[in-house]
Amino acid sequence: MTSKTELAVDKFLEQTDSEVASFFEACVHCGMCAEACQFHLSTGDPKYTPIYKLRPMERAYKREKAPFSRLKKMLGLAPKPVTEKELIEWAPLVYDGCNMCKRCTLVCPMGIDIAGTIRKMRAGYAAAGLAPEEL
Amino acid sequence: MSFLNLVEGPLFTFAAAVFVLGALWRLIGIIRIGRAKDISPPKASAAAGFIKGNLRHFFPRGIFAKRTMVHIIGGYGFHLGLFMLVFFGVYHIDFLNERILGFSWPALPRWAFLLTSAVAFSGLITLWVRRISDPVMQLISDKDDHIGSWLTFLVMLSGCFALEQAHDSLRGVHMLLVDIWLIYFPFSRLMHSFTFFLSRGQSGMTYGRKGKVR
Amino acid sequence: MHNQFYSLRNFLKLSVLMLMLAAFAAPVAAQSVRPPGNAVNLDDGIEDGPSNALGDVSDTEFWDNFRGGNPSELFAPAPEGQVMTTTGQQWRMIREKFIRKYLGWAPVIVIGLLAVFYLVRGPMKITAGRSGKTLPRFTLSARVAHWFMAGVFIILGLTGMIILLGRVVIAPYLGLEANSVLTSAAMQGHNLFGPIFIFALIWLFIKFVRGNFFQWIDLKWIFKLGGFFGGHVSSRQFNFGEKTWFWMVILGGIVISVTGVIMLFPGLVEDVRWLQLSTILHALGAVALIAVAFGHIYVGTIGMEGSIDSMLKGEVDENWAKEHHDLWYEEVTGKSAKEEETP
Repeated sequence: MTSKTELAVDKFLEQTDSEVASFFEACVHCGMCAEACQFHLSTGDPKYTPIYKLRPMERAYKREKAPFSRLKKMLGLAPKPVTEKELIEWAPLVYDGCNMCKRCTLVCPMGIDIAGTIRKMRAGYAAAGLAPEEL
Repeated sequence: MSFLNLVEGPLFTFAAAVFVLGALWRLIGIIRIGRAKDISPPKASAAAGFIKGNLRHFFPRGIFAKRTMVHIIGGYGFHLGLFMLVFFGVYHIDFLNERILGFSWPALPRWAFLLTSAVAFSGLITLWVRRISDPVMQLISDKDDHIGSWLTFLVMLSGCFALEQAHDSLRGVHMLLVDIWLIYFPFSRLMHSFTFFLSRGQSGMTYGRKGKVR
Repeated sequence: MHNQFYSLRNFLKLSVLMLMLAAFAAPVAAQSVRPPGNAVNLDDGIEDGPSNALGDVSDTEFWDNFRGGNPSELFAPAPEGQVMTTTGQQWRMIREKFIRKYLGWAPVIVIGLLAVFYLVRGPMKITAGRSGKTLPRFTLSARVAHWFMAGVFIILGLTGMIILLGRVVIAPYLGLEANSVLTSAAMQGHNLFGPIFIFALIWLFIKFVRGNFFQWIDLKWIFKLGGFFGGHVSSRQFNFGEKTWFWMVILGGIVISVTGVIMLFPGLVEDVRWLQLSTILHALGAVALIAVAFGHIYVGTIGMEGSIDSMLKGEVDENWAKEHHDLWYEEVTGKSAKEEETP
């Protein structure tokens, strides 16, 4: 039986095409997206930093799919696997913490389409049955 | 073989090979993943979006300019400064000319080189101290960010230390750090210096196709 | 710029030479300020020292023609038509017998005192414990300005110390070659980062000048010795200690910057005595700031619970604010700092 986490990660990886991969590869953690995010601006809470909302999906990609990921895994340098606890913790950020306004893409020096990737991440949540029940 | 000959000779060749092959492998690896076929009818050219997206993100947008001023000034100061230092510093041109390319081009005068160094150092230090004092950047930063910043800083600092050109050992330390930097580069976030055009371009393609790159 | 760096060095060499010449040429007049043998590099490992430059005959009258100035007068101007003054000798005496000999101990002594203070009094805890609620204290841009200055300060402090003390601290243990390499590196680094310090200083001033002017309430702080030895001291956003440190950095920084620019571009001044004065003031100012900086670092980190938050997160615990900056707390929150202090 496949766990919810595996279902979610599989979907994450499936959704990570070369566009999303290049986003994860280009991000330099500059934090400028936070300065554009309505959620961050109104709460001041760093957890609403847009790129941070993608963290589980980014980790899944960097562990399983990115170039050199197999080498890094062999050397024990790959990021830790995504856990179900983490996915549940992130659900409010992925669903309630983004209204797809895409201001973060406008400010991003790398032009990363974070909102578009959030949409793809939600597909992973839906596939695993981790999406909020109200939806 | 002296230390300087080692770090400028075989070790440099090895590091440069790792740098070139590693970076190519990674870039090709990202592109090879491919994109799902978009079946919607295009409203505009995706290729034009690729170029437009790349160019548009060079320029900060007015609505965010004030809030991100430190990033913009520090970022541009560091990146443009480093570019000028690497490719227009007289010792760098000499090294590239003698070891790799076989041709040279005009170098920055010494005063401009020092001024550029000051700007580049200021930018890098600003970006890193922001990383440690901004809760947002503290949260999203990982080891790679710090190692990359520090390695680049040490490469620059050792280069500055060797400016007198009076001691082979100082030049050797600089070259050793350059070698380490080159080897570290393709496996780290330093790769953003190549992947940025993919990232900007691909989101430019997506939105260009929808006719929405502004 | 390259050549100007070198001209400073040539100037130093010339000064050494001048001193030696003077010492040989006027043995009687210079008796009172005559350096011992080791001050003129006679036994520091250099085999063929510049003593040969004198030739085989010491021609007193010949050199006297070049040398002017009254050796008993401190920093006397060179008389008209004379190329050598006695001031070089005095400058060198100050540098060798005072600055290089004693100044380096200042930071060491401060560290020692801090260690004793830490062992005796221990860190200052937040007596009421952390409340969990925070107040914004320093904006992000102020924090970045602070850490930028800190980074530049550390680089300049280390390289400057190597330049100043390498000969007496590094050379005897690691050898002259190692000292030469380190000094060459430090010199280049120091010259390059020097101008960045001026930029950092202006930035720091703009970001921190508000709230840093002295007020009457600071007198109380002085009488209570800052509360470091017990007792409660009231203060607004910045207490007397912080204000003093701010103005030390700004004023000391201006002295260091001006003298530094003079040394980077020796052509700016006509009289060599400005250069001599610059090296002395530069060293004094820098060592003073470095010494006090250790105190600043101590109070900001292990010395006082909760201080570091203000520079890493920009926010401080409310109880920290009540205990150390009660009047500021009242200004910011509009609440009394006393009410909730004793439950």
